[in-house]
Amino acid sequence: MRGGGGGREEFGLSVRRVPRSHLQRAFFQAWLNEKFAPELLESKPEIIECVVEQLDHMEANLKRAKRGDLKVSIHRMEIERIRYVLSSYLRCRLVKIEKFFPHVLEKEKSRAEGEPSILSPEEFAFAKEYMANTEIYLKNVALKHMPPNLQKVSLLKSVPRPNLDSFVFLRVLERQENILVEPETDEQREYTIDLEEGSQHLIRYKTIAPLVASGAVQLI
Amino acid sequence: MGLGRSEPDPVRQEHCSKPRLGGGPPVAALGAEGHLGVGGQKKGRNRKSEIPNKSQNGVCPVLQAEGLRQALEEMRTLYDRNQADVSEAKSGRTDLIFLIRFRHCCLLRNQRCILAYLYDRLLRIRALRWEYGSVLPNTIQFHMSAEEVEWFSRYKKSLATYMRSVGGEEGLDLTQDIKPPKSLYIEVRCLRDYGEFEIDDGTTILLKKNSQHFLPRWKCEQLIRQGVLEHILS
Repeated sequence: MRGGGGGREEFGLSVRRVPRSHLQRAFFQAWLNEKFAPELLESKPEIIECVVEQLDHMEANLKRAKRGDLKVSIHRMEIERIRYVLSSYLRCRLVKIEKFFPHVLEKEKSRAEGEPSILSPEEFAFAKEYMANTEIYLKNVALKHMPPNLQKVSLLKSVPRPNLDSFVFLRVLERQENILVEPETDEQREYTIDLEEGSQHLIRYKTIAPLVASGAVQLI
Repeated sequence: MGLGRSEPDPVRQEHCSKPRLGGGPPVAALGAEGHLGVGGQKKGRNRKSEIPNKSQNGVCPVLQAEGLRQALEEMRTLYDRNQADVSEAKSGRTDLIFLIRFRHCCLLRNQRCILAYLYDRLLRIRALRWEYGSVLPNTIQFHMSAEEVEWFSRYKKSLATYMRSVGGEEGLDLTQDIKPPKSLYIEVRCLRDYGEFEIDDGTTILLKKNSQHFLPRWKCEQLIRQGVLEHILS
């Protein structure tokens, strides 16, 4: 999100809660993490809000600019790129919400007070509607025609859970010590590893899930 | 049927087929495509028509209403027989218990197959929204049942509400920008007559069949997906 040289004042944003470079880094990190994580991660409403504001600002500035100005193309391209990343991020979340909808809703329901939410309010509404829609459909087309003892089906049990044992690539951003790795087979025993800053690993997602949430590692 | 065995488990495994998806108990699994071997999965045990394999090009084939009805019919028959036997078993005929259990397994399997089939169709219909947009071509809609059409319209309303709520005043159309942008303007050829098309700076372009244009990429995406324009990669 670098404006053209000297373009900071013309096209830039007044400094908000987050400085622009920090926002870009956080946004890209959130995008990559969401893409490679097997489960739905925490929702980041502040980042999304800032990015959307920035896009709106840039669009508004572009409308005022002179036609044929070279800077217009460059900034237009920038807008396109940011919009792509934003769309990709939100789409990725939607796909996961639809794929694991009973589990996502269950997790949200059983969330403790003060714990960060994995769904934004709009996503929560979408997930609930999706679940209701599917339930009504299955009931009307099949379940209500079945024998009485089979008319209920637990979607929580039927729809597969996200596979937290899948392997992910990561890069370490903050040094971590004594991460406990659980054995995969009966012959192995559990062991601990240290994660050096800047190193890259291929590891089971379940082991490092809390580190992704805290920002100590970056999925790649 | 040789059901006098002491442990009904082998029977159970044979007819309440496998996979324990996602680590849960082996109840009905609305599994991801492929897990239940959706292609060619038989609904019911004996003479049912096979659920036809979904056609390769991903278009939603006709709902097998007849097969569905037969499977439900079979479930009803099995259940009625079971009910009759349960009362007999209660009054002393304990050798019927295995038969009852066996029928119950068949009922569970039928339920699972039916739900998997219907759910898989829903997933395909969902994919249609992302590929074709909110208005489905008539040929496809013809293959969907009334309830599926209703599900689709509720889904697209829900999606539209969500897309409007995110991304500023007008909302963000998430079905655009599927691929990272490579360039601002692209060369396109018109595949069929579309009529007038307005671009940002107010100029209108007449899209006639076989005409070529150099247009902004973000304006063309929707039309390319609908098949009106074709991106020329030289």
